[in-house]
Amino acid sequence: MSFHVPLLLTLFGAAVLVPFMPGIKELRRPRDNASLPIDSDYVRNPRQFAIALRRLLMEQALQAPGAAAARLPNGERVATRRDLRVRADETVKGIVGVSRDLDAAAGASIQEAWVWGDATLGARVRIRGLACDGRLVLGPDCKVGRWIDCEHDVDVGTGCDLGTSATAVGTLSVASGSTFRRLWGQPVRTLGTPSTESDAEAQVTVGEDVIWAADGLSVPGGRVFGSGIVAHGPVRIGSGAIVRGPVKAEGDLVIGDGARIEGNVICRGSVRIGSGARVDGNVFAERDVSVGSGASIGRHGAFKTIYAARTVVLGPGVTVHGWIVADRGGKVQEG
Amino acid sequence: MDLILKLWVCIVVGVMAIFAVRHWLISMRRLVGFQRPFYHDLLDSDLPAVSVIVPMHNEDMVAEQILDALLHSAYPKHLLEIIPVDDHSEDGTAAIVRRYAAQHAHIKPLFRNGGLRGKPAALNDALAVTTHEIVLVFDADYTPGADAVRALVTAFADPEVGAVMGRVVPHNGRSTLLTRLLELDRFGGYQVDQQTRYTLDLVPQFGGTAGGFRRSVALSMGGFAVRASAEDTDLTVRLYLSGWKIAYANRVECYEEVPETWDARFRQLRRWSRGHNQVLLRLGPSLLRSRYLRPLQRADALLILVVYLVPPLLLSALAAEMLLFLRGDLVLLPSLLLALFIVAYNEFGNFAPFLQIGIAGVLDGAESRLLLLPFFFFGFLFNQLAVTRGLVDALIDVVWQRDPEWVKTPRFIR
Repeated sequence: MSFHVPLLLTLFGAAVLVPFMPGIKELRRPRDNASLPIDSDYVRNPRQFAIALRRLLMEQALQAPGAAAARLPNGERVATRRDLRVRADETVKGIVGVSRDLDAAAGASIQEAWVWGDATLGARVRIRGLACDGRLVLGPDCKVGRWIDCEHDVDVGTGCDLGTSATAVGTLSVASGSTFRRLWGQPVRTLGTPSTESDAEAQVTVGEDVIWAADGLSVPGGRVFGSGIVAHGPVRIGSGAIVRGPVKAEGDLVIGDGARIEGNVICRGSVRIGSGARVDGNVFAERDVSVGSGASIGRHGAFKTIYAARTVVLGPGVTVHGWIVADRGGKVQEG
Repeated sequence: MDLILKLWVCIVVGVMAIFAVRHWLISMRRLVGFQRPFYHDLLDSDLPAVSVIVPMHNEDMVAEQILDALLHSAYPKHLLEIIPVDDHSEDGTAAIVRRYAAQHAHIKPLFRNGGLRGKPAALNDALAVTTHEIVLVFDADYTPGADAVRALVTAFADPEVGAVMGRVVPHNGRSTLLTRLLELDRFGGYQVDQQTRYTLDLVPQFGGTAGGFRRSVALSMGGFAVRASAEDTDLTVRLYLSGWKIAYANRVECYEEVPETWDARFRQLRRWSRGHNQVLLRLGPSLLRSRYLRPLQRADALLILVVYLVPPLLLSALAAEMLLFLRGDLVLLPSLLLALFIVAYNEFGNFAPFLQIGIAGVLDGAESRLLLLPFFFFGFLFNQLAVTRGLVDALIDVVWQRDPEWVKTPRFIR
C-alpha cells in the first residue's frame, strides 16, 4: 500500500478534529460552564436603586460606626455630614450621608447622597443619585444622572431631566418640560389645570364579558359599553363613552375626551388618552402613549402602570396613581 | 420506482430548505429590530388570586426544593394557593407534601392513588378542585424565583392571552457533556426562537411548566387530553384554534433540571416526538382550516408540529438515496446530495439550529460555551432514532387508540 493512503487518512482525521479542538479544550478546562445567573430573590420594585443605596450605606455604617469617611469595596468614597450646604457651582464628589438637610445652590453638582431630612436643589443642579427621607424639591432645569427617591412628596421644577427613575412614596409633582424614563408616585401629578370632564350621558349597555372584533371598532361618544373589547384593528372610544371592561387593540387606540375605561388598556400600537378621560386599569402600549390634560389613570389607594415601549407624553393636570415607564423616554408637555 | 424515490428525496430537500430559511429569518429578527415587550413591568395593586399546580410522581428528591421556592414567592399569600399533586408516588413524596401542608395553610395537596397516572390526568384533577381563574404550573424540578408568579400573572391583563410561558434555564448544565449541549439547546429555543415568535405575533408555545393559563378556558376545551404524551403542545394548539394567544416572558426565567444521561434524554425525546406527532395527526388539519390564524401563524404552527416528523423524513430520504445508489441510479447531482447533508446537519439535525444557539449565547453573554457547538454532531443520529421511535409510538396510539403510558423523566439532583 502506498504511503499516500495513510497520509491522506491522517490528514482527513486531523481536519475532522479541528472544529472539535476548542470544544475539547473547553470541556477539559471549562471557562464558561456556570448556569446562567438568575437572582431568585429579585422582586420588581420601582424604588430598587434607593433601596440598594440605603442598604449599602447602612452596611457601611454598621461596619465602621461613627466614621466620618470610608471607602466602598468599589473604591467610592463615603462621607457623612450633619447638614450639607453646597454653594453655587460647587462640586461634591463621592457618596454623602446627610443626617439632616441638604441645600444645594444653583449650578451645584453632587454625586450621590442619602439625606435623612429635607433636600432642596436649586436651579440647574446636577445629581447622580439621591435618596431623601424628608421632602424633596428640585428647582428648574435640574439634571438627574440616574435616580432620585423620596419617602415623602417631591416637587420637580420646569425643564428637569429626571434620569432613569424618579420615585416618591408620596406625591410626585412634575412641572412642564421635564423629561423622564420612569416615574413612581402616589400619585404622579403633572402641574397645570385639569380640564373639565365631558358631561355626555350614558345611553346603551351591551351585556357580555368581552366583545371580539375581527377588525377595528368604534364606540360612539356617550355610550356605555357593558363589556370589554378585543379588536384586531384600531379602536376609537368616543368622548364621554364608558367601557365596562378591558380594551385590547391590535392597532392604535384613541380614548376620547372624558371617556372612561373600567379595565386594563392593552395596545399593539399607540394609545392616545383624551382630556379628562379616565382609565381605572393599567395602560400598556407597544408604541407610544399620550395622556391628555386632566386625564387620570388608576385610583386613590391603589397603584397601576402606564407602560410604553417607546415614549410617554403627559399633558398638564394629569394624575397617575402608580408607575409610568417610558422605555425610550417621556416628557411633560409644555404649558 | 426510481422516479418515486427521486421525487421523495426532492420533497425532503424542500422541507429542509423551508426549515433552514425559517431558522435563518427567526435568528436574524432576534438580532435586529424591535423586540416585543412582555407585561412584567405592569405593577398592579389589584392582583388576581392564583392557583399553582405542581404535578409530582416520585419526586422526593426535588419536592422540598419546589415547595420552598414557591413559599419564597413575593406574591401575597392570601391570593396564592399551592396545589402539589402527588400522582401515584411510591417514594417519600406524599410524606413531604403532607409535612408542608401541615405547616402552611395555602398549600392544599391533592393525592391521586387511583385512575390514570400521568401529568394530564393530574392537572385535570387539580383543575377540578381549584377555583381561581389563573392557574400556573411548575414541574417538580423547577425553582421559580420570588417574582415569577407575579410576573407571569401580568400577562393576563391582556384579555386575549389564554396562556403564558416563561423562559427555562437549566441549573445542572455543567454536569455532563449532554447537559452542556442541552443547555445550549434551551438557549436557542427560548432566547431566540420563542422570543422572535412572540415578537412577530406567530405562535409561541406553552411548555406545560413555568407558565400558566386561564382555568375557564382550559375547562371549556375539556381540560387536558389524558391520551396526549405532550399535553402542553396539545393545549397550545387548541388555544390557538379557539382564538386565544400565548404570551412569552423571556425575562421571567426559571431553573429546571435537564437529563444527565443519554438514556433519559432518549426517553424524553421519544415522548416529546410521540406527543408532537399525536397532535399533528389529530389537530394538524384543523390548524390549516382555522379562521383565527393568519397564514403566517398557520405556517408557523404547522412547522412546529412537523418538527418531530422531519428526522424520520430525513432518514427515509437517506434510505431512498441508498436504494438509488444500489440500483445504480444516483438520484441527483452529487453536489445537491451534499447540500442535503450540509443543510440537515447545520440547520435542522440537532433540533436547536446552530445559528439560533450562537445568537442566544451572545445575547446571554455565554460565549465560550459556544465552542461546544460541533459536539452536536454526535447527537444527530441519536436524535434521529429517538424521534423516529416517538413517531412510531404516535402512529400506533392514533391508529389503535392506545392509552400511552406516561414516561417520567428521572431526576438527577445531588
